[in-house]
Amino acid sequence: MNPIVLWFNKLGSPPNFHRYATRWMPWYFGAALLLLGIGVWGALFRVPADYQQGDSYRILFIHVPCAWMSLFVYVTMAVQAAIALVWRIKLCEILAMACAPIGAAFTAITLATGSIWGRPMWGTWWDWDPRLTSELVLLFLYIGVIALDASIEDRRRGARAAGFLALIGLVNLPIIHYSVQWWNSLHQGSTISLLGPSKMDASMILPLLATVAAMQLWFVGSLLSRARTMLLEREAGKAWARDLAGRDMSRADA
Amino acid sequence: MSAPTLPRAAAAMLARDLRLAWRRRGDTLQPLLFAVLVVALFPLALGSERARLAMLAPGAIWVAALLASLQGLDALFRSDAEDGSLEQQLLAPVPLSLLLACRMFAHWLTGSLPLILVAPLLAQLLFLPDHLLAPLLLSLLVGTPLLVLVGSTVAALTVGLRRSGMLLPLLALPLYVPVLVFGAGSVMAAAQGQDWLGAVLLLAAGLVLALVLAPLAAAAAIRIALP
Amino acid sequence: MSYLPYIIAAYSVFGVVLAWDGLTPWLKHRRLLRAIRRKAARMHDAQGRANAAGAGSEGAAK
Repeated sequence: MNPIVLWFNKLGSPPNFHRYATRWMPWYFGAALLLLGIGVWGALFRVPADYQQGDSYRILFIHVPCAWMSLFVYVTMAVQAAIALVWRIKLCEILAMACAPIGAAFTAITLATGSIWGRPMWGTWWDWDPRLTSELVLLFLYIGVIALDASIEDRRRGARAAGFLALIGLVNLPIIHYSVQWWNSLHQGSTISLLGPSKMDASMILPLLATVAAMQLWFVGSLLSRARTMLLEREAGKAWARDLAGRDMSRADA
Repeated sequence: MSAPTLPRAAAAMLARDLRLAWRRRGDTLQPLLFAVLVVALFPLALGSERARLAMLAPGAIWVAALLASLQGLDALFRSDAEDGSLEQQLLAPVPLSLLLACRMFAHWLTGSLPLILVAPLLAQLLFLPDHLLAPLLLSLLVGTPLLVLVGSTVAALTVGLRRSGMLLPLLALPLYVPVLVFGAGSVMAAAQGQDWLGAVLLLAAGLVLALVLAPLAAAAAIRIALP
Repeated sequence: MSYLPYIIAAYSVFGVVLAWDGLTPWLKHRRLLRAIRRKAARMHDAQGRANAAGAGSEGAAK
Protein backbone atom coordinates (compact mmCIF):
# COMPACT_ATOMS: atom_id res chain seq x y z
CA MET A 1 0.00 0.00 0.00
CA ASN A 2 2.93 2.30 0.53
CA PRO A 3 3.32 3.24 -3.16
CA ILE A 4 -0.26 4.47 -3.05
CA VAL A 5 0.37 6.45 0.10
CA LEU A 6 3.50 7.97 -1.37
CA TRP A 7 1.57 8.95 -4.44
CA PHE A 8 -0.69 11.07 -2.24
CA ASN A 9 2.31 13.22 -1.54
CA LYS A 10 2.32 14.30 -5.15
CA LEU A 11 -1.22 15.57 -4.89
CA GLY A 12 -0.60 19.23 -4.41
CA SER A 13 -3.40 21.51 -3.44
CA PRO A 14 -6.13 20.85 -0.88
CA PRO A 15 -9.04 21.05 -3.33
CA ASN A 16 -7.29 18.50 -5.55
CA PHE A 17 -6.78 16.09 -2.72
CA HIS A 18 -10.35 16.54 -1.54
CA ARG A 19 -11.68 15.86 -5.01
CA TYR A 20 -9.42 12.84 -5.41
CA ALA A 21 -10.38 11.42 -2.01
CA THR A 22 -14.10 11.91 -2.57
CA ARG A 23 -13.87 10.22 -5.95
CA TRP A 24 -11.94 7.14 -4.86
CA MET A 25 -13.27 6.59 -1.34
CA PRO A 26 -16.40 4.64 -2.33
CA TRP A 27 -14.38 2.31 -4.55
CA TYR A 28 -11.99 1.38 -1.78
CA PHE A 29 -14.79 0.84 0.70
CA GLY A 30 -16.77 -1.13 -1.86
CA ALA A 31 -13.87 -3.39 -2.74
CA ALA A 32 -13.11 -3.87 0.94
CA LEU A 33 -16.69 -4.86 1.74
CA LEU A 34 -16.79 -7.24 -1.21
CA LEU A 35 -13.61 -9.03 -0.20
CA LEU A 36 -14.73 -8.97 3.41
CA GLY A 37 -17.96 -10.65 2.48
CA ILE A 38 -16.12 -13.37 0.59
CA GLY A 39 -13.65 -13.87 3.42
CA VAL A 40 -16.21 -13.96 6.21
CA TRP A 41 -18.48 -16.29 4.25
CA GLY A 42 -15.53 -18.61 3.71
CA ALA A 43 -14.49 -18.33 7.34
CA LEU A 44 -17.90 -19.08 8.73
CA PHE A 45 -19.35 -21.57 6.31
CA ARG A 46 -16.72 -23.14 4.10
CA VAL A 47 -13.73 -23.80 6.30
CA PRO A 48 -13.84 -27.02 8.36
CA ALA A 49 -13.72 -26.91 12.14
CA ASP A 50 -10.28 -27.11 13.69
CA TYR A 51 -9.07 -30.36 15.23
CA GLN A 52 -8.03 -28.76 18.52
CA GLN A 53 -10.05 -25.60 18.86
CA GLY A 54 -13.36 -26.52 17.30
CA ASP A 55 -15.26 -23.66 15.77
CA SER A 56 -13.86 -20.84 17.88
CA TYR A 57 -10.80 -20.51 15.69
CA ARG A 58 -13.03 -18.95 13.03
CA ILE A 59 -12.37 -15.77 14.96
CA LEU A 60 -8.83 -16.00 13.59
CA PHE A 61 -10.03 -14.73 10.24
CA ILE A 62 -10.85 -11.34 11.72
CA HIS A 63 -8.39 -11.33 14.60
CA VAL A 64 -5.23 -11.87 12.54
CA PRO A 65 -5.88 -9.28 9.81
CA CYS A 66 -6.70 -6.66 12.42
CA ALA A 67 -3.57 -7.53 14.41
CA TRP A 68 -1.40 -7.13 11.32
CA MET A 69 -3.16 -3.91 10.38
CA SER A 70 -2.71 -2.48 13.87
CA LEU A 71 1.04 -2.74 13.37
CA PHE A 72 1.04 -1.80 9.70
CA VAL A 73 -0.99 1.35 10.31
CA TYR A 74 1.37 2.42 13.10
CA VAL A 75 4.38 2.08 10.82
CA THR A 76 2.54 3.98 8.07
CA MET A 77 1.65 6.69 10.58
CA ALA A 78 5.27 6.98 11.67
CA VAL A 79 6.52 7.15 8.09
CA GLN A 80 4.02 9.88 7.26
CA ALA A 81 5.04 11.72 10.42
CA ALA A 82 8.71 11.49 9.49
CA ILE A 83 8.01 12.91 6.03
CA ALA A 84 5.89 15.66 7.56
CA LEU A 85 8.61 16.58 10.06
CA VAL A 86 11.49 16.55 7.61
CA TRP A 87 9.82 18.19 4.62
CA ARG A 88 7.01 20.04 6.40
CA ILE A 89 4.37 18.77 4.00
CA LYS A 90 0.95 19.72 5.34
CA LEU A 91 -0.83 16.83 3.67
CA CYS A 92 1.46 14.31 5.34
CA GLU A 93 0.71 15.85 8.71
CA ILE A 94 -2.97 15.28 8.06
CA LEU A 95 -2.42 11.75 6.75
CA ALA A 96 -0.35 10.84 9.80
CA MET A 97 -3.00 12.07 12.22
CA ALA A 98 -5.73 10.37 10.21
CA CYS A 99 -3.94 7.03 10.64
CA ALA A 100 -4.13 7.17 14.41
CA PRO A 101 -7.85 6.52 15.03
CA ILE A 102 -7.92 3.84 12.34
CA GLY A 103 -4.97 2.07 13.92
CA ALA A 104 -6.53 2.39 17.34
CA ALA A 105 -9.73 0.82 15.97
CA PHE A 106 -7.81 -2.14 14.55
CA THR A 107 -5.96 -2.54 17.83
CA ALA A 108 -9.20 -2.45 19.80
CA ILE A 109 -10.70 -5.12 17.55
CA THR A 110 -7.57 -7.23 17.98
CA LEU A 111 -7.79 -6.97 21.75
CA ALA A 112 -11.52 -7.65 21.90
CA THR A 113 -11.50 -10.58 19.47
CA GLY A 114 -8.36 -11.97 21.10
CA SER A 115 -10.02 -11.82 24.48
CA ILE A 116 -13.26 -13.39 23.19
CA TRP A 117 -11.30 -16.10 21.42
CA GLY A 118 -9.26 -16.75 24.51
CA ARG A 119 -12.21 -17.09 26.86
CA PRO A 120 -13.09 -20.69 25.91
CA MET A 121 -9.36 -21.50 25.85
CA TRP A 122 -8.20 -19.87 29.06
CA GLY A 123 -11.42 -19.75 31.05
CA THR A 124 -10.90 -16.05 31.69
CA TRP A 125 -11.41 -12.98 29.56
CA TRP A 126 -7.75 -12.03 29.84
CA ASP A 127 -4.58 -13.99 30.34
CA TRP A 128 -1.68 -11.56 29.89
CA ASP A 129 -0.75 -13.43 26.77
CA PRO A 130 2.45 -11.73 25.52
CA ARG A 131 1.02 -10.78 22.16
CA LEU A 132 -2.16 -9.33 23.59
CA THR A 133 -0.16 -7.48 26.23
CA SER A 134 1.95 -5.94 23.47
CA GLU A 135 -1.25 -4.98 21.67
CA LEU A 136 -2.50 -3.32 24.83
CA VAL A 137 0.61 -1.18 25.06
CA LEU A 138 0.21 -0.41 21.35
CA LEU A 139 -3.33 0.81 22.02
CA PHE A 140 -1.99 3.20 24.61
CA LEU A 141 0.63 4.43 22.18
CA TYR A 142 -2.14 5.23 19.70
CA ILE A 143 -4.25 6.92 22.37
CA GLY A 144 -1.22 8.98 23.36
CA VAL A 145 -0.75 10.22 19.79
CA ILE A 146 -4.43 11.09 19.49
CA ALA A 147 -4.48 12.80 22.88
CA LEU A 148 -1.37 14.88 22.24
CA ASP A 149 -2.65 16.03 18.86
CA ALA A 150 -5.98 16.95 20.40
CA SER A 151 -4.45 18.95 23.24
CA ILE A 152 -2.46 21.38 21.08
CA GLU A 153 -4.51 24.18 19.61
CA ASP A 154 -2.36 24.94 16.60
CA ARG A 155 -3.30 22.09 14.26
CA ARG A 156 0.03 21.99 12.45
CA ARG A 157 2.08 22.05 15.63
CA GLY A 158 -0.17 19.43 17.18
CA ALA A 159 0.28 17.11 14.22
CA ARG A 160 4.04 17.57 14.28
CA ALA A 161 4.33 16.97 18.03
CA ALA A 162 2.07 13.93 17.91
CA GLY A 163 3.96 12.70 14.86
CA PHE A 164 7.22 12.99 16.75
CA LEU A 165 5.68 11.00 19.58
CA ALA A 166 4.64 8.36 17.06
CA LEU A 167 8.24 8.13 15.88
CA ILE A 168 9.49 7.70 19.43
CA GLY A 169 6.87 5.00 19.86
CA LEU A 170 7.99 3.30 16.67
CA VAL A 171 11.55 3.00 17.93
CA ASN A 172 10.20 1.59 21.17
CA LEU A 173 7.82 -0.94 19.60
CA PRO A 174 10.34 -3.74 19.06
CA ILE A 175 11.80 -3.04 22.50
CA ILE A 176 8.36 -3.23 24.10
CA HIS A 177 7.55 -6.41 22.20
CA TYR A 178 10.79 -8.08 23.21
CA SER A 179 10.45 -6.99 26.82
CA VAL A 180 6.92 -8.39 27.06
CA GLN A 181 8.11 -11.69 25.60
CA TRP A 182 10.93 -11.85 28.14
CA TRP A 183 8.52 -10.91 30.93
CA ASN A 184 6.16 -13.64 29.91
CA SER A 185 8.86 -16.30 29.82
CA LEU A 186 10.05 -15.17 33.23
CA HIS A 187 6.70 -15.37 34.94
CA GLN A 188 4.86 -18.12 33.19
CA GLY A 189 7.31 -20.48 31.61
CA SER A 190 5.89 -21.78 28.36
CA THR A 191 2.72 -20.28 27.04
CA ILE A 192 -0.05 -21.64 24.96
CA SER A 193 0.10 -19.49 21.90
CA LEU A 194 -3.20 -18.08 20.81
CA LEU A 195 -2.46 -19.01 17.23
CA GLY A 196 -2.66 -22.73 17.82
CA PRO A 197 -2.79 -24.34 14.39
CA SER A 198 0.75 -24.56 13.07
CA LYS A 199 -0.39 -26.00 9.79
CA MET A 200 -2.87 -24.01 7.82
CA ASP A 201 -5.14 -26.16 5.75
CA ALA A 202 -5.17 -24.94 2.13
CA SER A 203 -8.83 -24.07 2.35
CA MET A 204 -8.10 -21.77 5.29
CA ILE A 205 -5.61 -19.60 3.44
CA LEU A 206 -8.02 -18.12 0.92
CA PRO A 207 -10.53 -16.62 3.35
CA LEU A 208 -7.64 -15.27 5.40
CA LEU A 209 -6.08 -13.64 2.36
CA ALA A 210 -9.46 -12.19 1.47
CA THR A 211 -9.95 -10.62 4.89
CA VAL A 212 -6.38 -9.33 5.01
CA ALA A 213 -6.79 -7.70 1.61
CA ALA A 214 -10.17 -6.36 2.69
CA MET A 215 -8.64 -4.69 5.74
CA GLN A 216 -5.87 -3.13 3.67
CA LEU A 217 -8.43 -1.66 1.28
CA TRP A 218 -10.60 -0.52 4.18
CA PHE A 219 -7.59 1.26 5.67
CA VAL A 220 -6.97 3.20 2.46
CA GLY A 221 -10.64 4.09 2.13
CA SER A 222 -10.93 5.20 5.73
CA LEU A 223 -7.67 7.14 5.47
CA LEU A 224 -8.99 9.04 2.46
CA SER A 225 -12.25 9.72 4.24
CA ARG A 226 -10.67 10.99 7.44
CA ALA A 227 -7.98 12.96 5.65
CA ARG A 228 -10.43 14.82 3.40
CA THR A 229 -12.59 15.64 6.44
CA MET A 230 -9.61 16.93 8.43
CA LEU A 231 -8.48 18.91 5.40
CA LEU A 232 -11.90 20.49 4.99
CA GLU A 233 -11.96 21.36 8.67
CA ARG A 234 -8.65 23.20 8.48
CA GLU A 235 -9.49 24.98 5.26
CA ALA A 236 -13.09 25.82 6.18
CA GLY A 237 -12.56 29.53 5.67
CA LYS A 238 -11.09 29.26 2.22
CA ALA A 239 -12.90 30.00 -1.01
CA TRP A 240 -12.65 26.50 -2.40
CA ALA A 241 -14.39 25.14 0.68
CA ARG A 242 -17.25 27.59 0.27
CA ASP A 243 -17.53 26.68 -3.40
CA LEU A 244 -17.65 23.03 -2.49
CA ALA A 245 -20.35 23.61 0.12
CA GLY A 246 -22.33 25.74 -2.31
CA ARG A 247 -22.05 23.21 -5.10
CA ASP A 248 -23.23 20.54 -2.73
CA MET A 249 -26.50 22.29 -2.14
CA SER A 250 -27.67 21.23 -5.55
CA ARG A 251 -26.70 17.64 -4.95
CA ALA A 252 -28.36 15.21 -2.59
CA ASP A 253 -25.28 13.56 -1.13
CA ALA A 254 -22.21 15.10 0.44
CA MET B 1 33.49 37.87 26.58
CA SER B 2 34.37 34.83 24.53
CA ALA B 3 31.85 32.13 23.71
CA PRO B 4 31.47 29.62 26.53
CA THR B 5 33.20 26.29 26.14
CA LEU B 6 31.04 23.22 26.24
CA PRO B 7 32.19 21.92 29.62
CA ARG B 8 31.83 25.34 31.19
CA ALA B 9 28.31 25.76 29.79
CA ALA B 10 27.37 22.29 30.98
CA ALA B 11 28.71 22.94 34.45
CA ALA B 12 26.91 26.28 34.61
CA MET B 13 23.60 24.71 33.59
CA LEU B 14 24.03 21.91 36.08
CA ALA B 15 24.90 24.30 38.87
CA ARG B 16 21.91 26.46 38.04
CA ASP B 17 19.46 23.56 38.09
CA LEU B 18 20.88 22.18 41.32
CA ARG B 19 20.71 25.57 42.94
CA LEU B 20 17.10 26.01 41.81
CA ALA B 21 16.25 22.56 43.13
CA TRP B 22 17.84 23.41 46.45
CA ARG B 23 15.90 26.63 46.72
CA ARG B 24 12.69 24.72 46.16
CA ARG B 25 13.76 21.75 48.16
CA GLY B 26 10.27 21.13 49.39
CA ASP B 27 9.03 20.69 45.85
CA THR B 28 12.07 18.68 44.90
CA LEU B 29 11.50 16.22 47.72
CA GLN B 30 7.84 15.66 46.93
CA PRO B 31 8.35 12.79 44.47
CA LEU B 32 10.44 10.99 47.07
CA LEU B 33 7.74 11.36 49.69
CA PHE B 34 5.23 10.22 47.12
CA ALA B 35 7.24 7.06 46.49
CA VAL B 36 7.42 6.25 50.18
CA LEU B 37 3.66 6.78 50.42
CA VAL B 38 3.01 4.48 47.49
CA VAL B 39 5.13 1.78 49.08
CA ALA B 40 3.17 2.18 52.30
CA LEU B 41 -0.06 1.71 50.36
CA PHE B 42 0.77 -1.84 49.40
CA PRO B 43 0.63 -3.38 52.89
CA LEU B 44 -2.43 -1.27 53.61
CA ALA B 45 -4.14 -2.67 50.57
CA LEU B 46 -2.88 -6.23 50.69
CA GLY B 47 -2.37 -6.98 54.35
CA SER B 48 0.83 -7.16 56.35
CA GLU B 49 1.51 -10.86 55.88
CA ARG B 50 5.27 -11.08 55.59
CA ALA B 51 5.60 -13.68 52.87
CA ARG B 52 3.14 -12.01 50.53
CA LEU B 53 4.73 -8.58 50.90
CA ALA B 54 8.18 -10.04 50.38
CA MET B 55 7.01 -11.54 47.12
CA LEU B 56 5.59 -8.23 45.93
CA ALA B 57 8.38 -6.04 47.24
CA PRO B 58 10.56 -5.67 44.13
CA GLY B 59 7.60 -4.87 41.88
CA ALA B 60 6.03 -2.51 44.40
CA ILE B 61 9.24 -0.55 44.92
CA TRP B 62 9.79 -0.33 41.18
CA VAL B 63 6.23 0.89 40.60
CA ALA B 64 6.71 3.47 43.32
CA ALA B 65 9.95 4.64 41.72
CA LEU B 66 8.25 4.82 38.34
CA LEU B 67 5.25 6.80 39.58
CA ALA B 68 7.54 9.15 41.49
CA SER B 69 9.51 9.69 38.32
CA LEU B 70 6.32 10.72 36.52
CA GLN B 71 5.57 13.24 39.26
CA GLY B 72 8.59 15.36 38.67
CA LEU B 73 8.30 15.35 34.87
CA ASP B 74 5.61 17.94 34.51
CA ALA B 75 7.60 20.55 36.40
CA LEU B 76 10.78 19.78 34.49
CA PHE B 77 10.39 22.37 31.79
CA ARG B 78 7.40 24.26 33.03
CA SER B 79 9.06 27.07 34.98
CA ASP B 80 11.63 27.68 32.28
CA ALA B 81 8.99 27.68 29.60
CA GLU B 82 6.86 30.13 31.55
CA ASP B 83 9.49 32.74 32.27
CA GLY B 84 11.12 32.60 28.87
CA SER B 85 14.45 31.13 29.82
CA LEU B 86 13.72 28.14 27.61
CA GLU B 87 13.70 30.39 24.57
CA GLN B 88 16.97 31.86 25.73
CA GLN B 89 18.43 28.40 25.93
CA LEU B 90 17.19 27.73 22.41
CA LEU B 91 19.15 30.70 21.16
CA ALA B 92 22.31 29.97 23.13
CA PRO B 93 25.54 29.33 21.22
CA VAL B 94 25.78 26.00 23.02
CA PRO B 95 23.84 23.04 21.61
CA LEU B 96 20.40 22.77 23.21
CA SER B 97 20.84 19.02 23.58
CA LEU B 98 23.81 19.57 25.89
CA LEU B 99 21.82 21.93 28.11
CA LEU B 100 18.95 19.48 28.20
CA ALA B 101 21.30 16.64 29.07
CA CYS B 102 22.50 18.64 32.04
CA ARG B 103 18.93 19.36 33.08
CA MET B 104 18.10 15.65 32.87
CA PHE B 105 21.16 14.79 34.94
CA ALA B 106 20.22 17.37 37.57
CA HIS B 107 16.70 15.97 37.61
CA TRP B 108 18.03 12.49 38.21
CA LEU B 109 20.37 13.70 40.94
CA THR B 110 17.61 15.47 42.81
CA GLY B 111 14.76 13.09 42.11
CA SER B 112 15.94 9.54 41.63
CA LEU B 113 19.19 9.38 43.54
CA PRO B 114 17.51 10.12 46.88
CA LEU B 115 15.06 7.36 46.08
CA ILE B 116 17.87 4.89 45.51
CA LEU B 117 19.43 5.95 48.81
CA VAL B 118 16.10 5.41 50.56
CA ALA B 119 15.44 2.11 48.77
CA PRO B 120 16.95 -0.05 51.53
CA LEU B 121 14.44 1.46 53.94
CA LEU B 122 11.61 0.75 51.51
CA ALA B 123 12.92 -2.79 51.16
CA GLN B 124 12.69 -3.20 54.92
CA LEU B 125 9.11 -1.88 54.92
CA LEU B 126 8.12 -4.64 52.51
CA PHE B 127 10.28 -7.39 53.99
CA LEU B 128 12.44 -7.76 50.91
CA PRO B 129 14.88 -10.65 51.41
CA ASP B 130 18.41 -9.40 52.02
CA HIS B 131 20.00 -11.12 49.08
CA LEU B 132 17.68 -9.26 46.72
CA LEU B 133 18.73 -5.82 47.89
CA ALA B 134 21.80 -5.70 45.65
CA PRO B 135 19.87 -6.60 42.47
CA LEU B 136 17.19 -4.07 43.43
CA LEU B 137 19.65 -1.25 43.95
CA LEU B 138 21.57 -2.07 40.81
CA SER B 139 18.43 -2.25 38.70
CA LEU B 140 17.24 1.08 40.11
CA LEU B 141 20.64 2.64 39.54
CA VAL B 142 20.59 1.68 35.87
CA GLY B 143 16.85 1.99 35.33
CA THR B 144 15.98 5.34 36.91
CA PRO B 145 18.29 7.33 34.58
CA LEU B 146 16.51 5.61 31.69
CA LEU B 147 13.16 6.69 33.09
CA VAL B 148 14.41 10.26 33.41
CA LEU B 149 15.82 10.31 29.88
CA VAL B 150 12.73 8.85 28.21
CA GLY B 151 10.33 10.82 30.36
CA SER B 152 12.10 14.12 29.73
CA THR B 153 11.88 13.60 25.99
CA VAL B 154 8.13 13.16 26.26
CA ALA B 155 7.87 16.10 28.63
CA ALA B 156 9.68 18.21 26.06
CA LEU B 157 6.89 17.47 23.60
CA THR B 158 4.24 18.82 25.95
CA VAL B 159 6.11 22.00 26.83
CA GLY B 160 3.89 24.97 26.25
CA LEU B 161 0.68 23.11 27.02
CA ARG B 162 -1.17 24.94 29.70
CA ARG B 163 -2.57 22.20 31.89
CA SER B 164 -1.41 18.82 30.72
CA GLY B 165 -2.90 17.02 33.72
CA MET B 166 -2.69 13.29 33.17
CA LEU B 167 -1.56 13.67 29.57
CA LEU B 168 2.14 13.39 30.35
CA PRO B 169 1.84 10.13 32.33
CA LEU B 170 -0.41 8.73 29.61
CA LEU B 171 2.24 9.48 27.00
CA ALA B 172 5.19 8.31 29.04
CA LEU B 173 3.91 5.09 30.59
CA PRO B 174 3.86 2.92 27.44
CA LEU B 175 7.48 3.91 26.88
CA TYR B 176 8.27 3.08 30.50
CA VAL B 177 6.99 -0.48 30.17
CA PRO B 178 10.27 -2.08 28.98
CA VAL B 179 12.24 -0.36 31.74
CA LEU B 180 9.79 -1.60 34.36
CA VAL B 181 9.74 -5.10 32.91
CA PHE B 182 13.50 -5.47 32.86
CA GLY B 183 14.10 -3.54 36.07
CA ALA B 184 11.58 -5.26 38.30
CA GLY B 185 11.99 -8.46 36.32
CA SER B 186 15.70 -8.67 37.08
CA VAL B 187 14.95 -8.69 40.79
CA MET B 188 12.19 -11.24 40.30
CA ALA B 189 14.60 -13.39 38.33
CA ALA B 190 17.10 -13.14 41.17
CA ALA B 191 14.34 -14.18 43.55
CA GLN B 192 13.73 -17.28 41.46
CA GLY B 193 17.40 -18.06 41.40
CA GLN B 194 17.75 -17.35 37.69
CA ASP B 195 20.22 -15.17 35.89
CA TRP B 196 19.34 -11.58 36.69
CA LEU B 197 22.43 -9.77 35.48
CA GLY B 198 21.39 -10.20 31.86
CA ALA B 199 18.32 -8.04 32.32
CA VAL B 200 20.36 -5.35 34.06
CA LEU B 201 22.88 -5.41 31.23
CA LEU B 202 20.02 -4.94 28.76
CA LEU B 203 18.93 -1.94 30.76
CA ALA B 204 22.49 -0.65 30.72
CA ALA B 205 22.65 -1.01 26.95
CA GLY B 206 19.40 0.91 26.68
CA LEU B 207 20.80 3.54 29.00
CA VAL B 208 23.87 4.08 26.84
CA LEU B 209 21.66 4.46 23.79
CA ALA B 210 19.31 6.83 25.56
CA LEU B 211 22.19 8.92 26.90
CA VAL B 212 23.10 9.73 23.33
CA LEU B 213 19.67 9.91 21.73
CA ALA B 214 17.38 11.37 24.37
CA PRO B 215 18.96 14.84 24.67
CA LEU B 216 18.95 15.14 20.88
CA ALA B 217 15.36 13.98 20.65
CA ALA B 218 14.31 16.27 23.48
CA ALA B 219 15.95 19.24 21.76
CA ALA B 220 14.07 18.42 18.56
CA ALA B 221 10.88 18.01 20.56
CA ILE B 222 11.24 21.41 22.19
CA ARG B 223 11.73 23.01 18.81
CA ILE B 224 8.58 21.33 17.57
CA ALA B 225 6.51 22.10 20.64
CA LEU B 226 7.44 25.73 21.22
CA PRO B 227 5.49 28.21 19.12
CA MET C 1 -19.14 -26.75 23.84
CA SER C 2 -20.96 -24.34 21.66
CA TYR C 3 -18.73 -21.61 20.36
CA LEU C 4 -21.56 -19.79 18.64
CA PRO C 5 -22.00 -16.95 21.19
CA TYR C 6 -18.25 -16.28 21.06
CA ILE C 7 -18.18 -16.20 17.29
CA ILE C 8 -21.21 -13.93 17.21
CA ALA C 9 -19.64 -11.65 19.83
CA ALA C 10 -16.30 -11.41 18.03
CA TYR C 11 -17.77 -10.72 14.61
CA SER C 12 -20.20 -8.21 16.09
CA VAL C 13 -17.42 -6.25 17.76
CA PHE C 14 -15.57 -6.33 14.46
CA GLY C 15 -18.59 -5.02 12.56
CA VAL C 16 -19.49 -2.33 15.07
CA VAL C 17 -15.98 -0.90 15.28
CA LEU C 18 -15.56 -0.87 11.50
CA ALA C 19 -18.95 0.80 11.13
CA TRP C 20 -17.88 3.46 13.63
CA ASP C 21 -14.63 3.96 11.74
CA GLY C 22 -16.44 4.29 8.44
CA LEU C 23 -19.34 6.46 9.53
CA THR C 24 -17.81 9.04 11.90
CA PRO C 25 -15.63 10.86 9.34
CA TRP C 26 -18.40 10.81 6.75
CA LEU C 27 -20.96 12.26 9.13
CA LYS C 28 -18.48 14.86 10.32
CA HIS C 29 -17.81 15.83 6.72
CA ARG C 30 -21.50 16.44 6.11
CA ARG C 31 -21.77 18.51 9.27
CA LEU C 32 -18.78 20.57 8.16
CA LEU C 33 -20.30 21.27 4.77
CA ARG C 34 -23.52 22.42 6.41
CA ALA C 35 -21.61 24.67 8.80
CA ILE C 36 -19.59 26.21 5.97
CA ARG C 37 -22.77 26.80 3.99
CA ARG C 38 -24.49 28.51 6.91
CA LYS C 39 -21.50 30.69 7.65
CA ALA C 40 -21.19 31.68 3.99
CA ALA C 41 -24.89 32.54 3.91
CA ARG C 42 -24.52 34.68 7.06
CA MET C 43 -21.59 36.56 5.60
CA HIS C 44 -23.45 37.00 2.34
CA ASP C 45 -26.43 38.49 4.20
CA ALA C 46 -24.22 40.76 6.26
CA GLN C 47 -22.49 41.89 3.09
CA GLY C 48 -25.83 42.52 1.41
CA ARG C 49 -27.10 44.58 4.35
CA ALA C 50 -23.88 46.57 4.46
CA ASN C 51 -24.17 47.31 0.75
CA ALA C 52 -27.81 48.32 1.13
CA ALA C 53 -26.99 50.56 4.10
CA GLY C 54 -24.13 52.16 2.14
CA ALA C 55 -26.37 52.76 -0.89
CA GLY C 56 -29.13 54.13 1.34
CA SER C 57 -26.86 56.61 3.13
CA GLU C 58 -25.39 57.72 -0.20
CA GLY C 59 -28.88 58.31 -1.49
CA ALA C 60 -29.80 60.34 1.62
CA ALA C 61 -26.62 62.40 1.38
CA LYS C 62 -27.31 63.36 -2.25
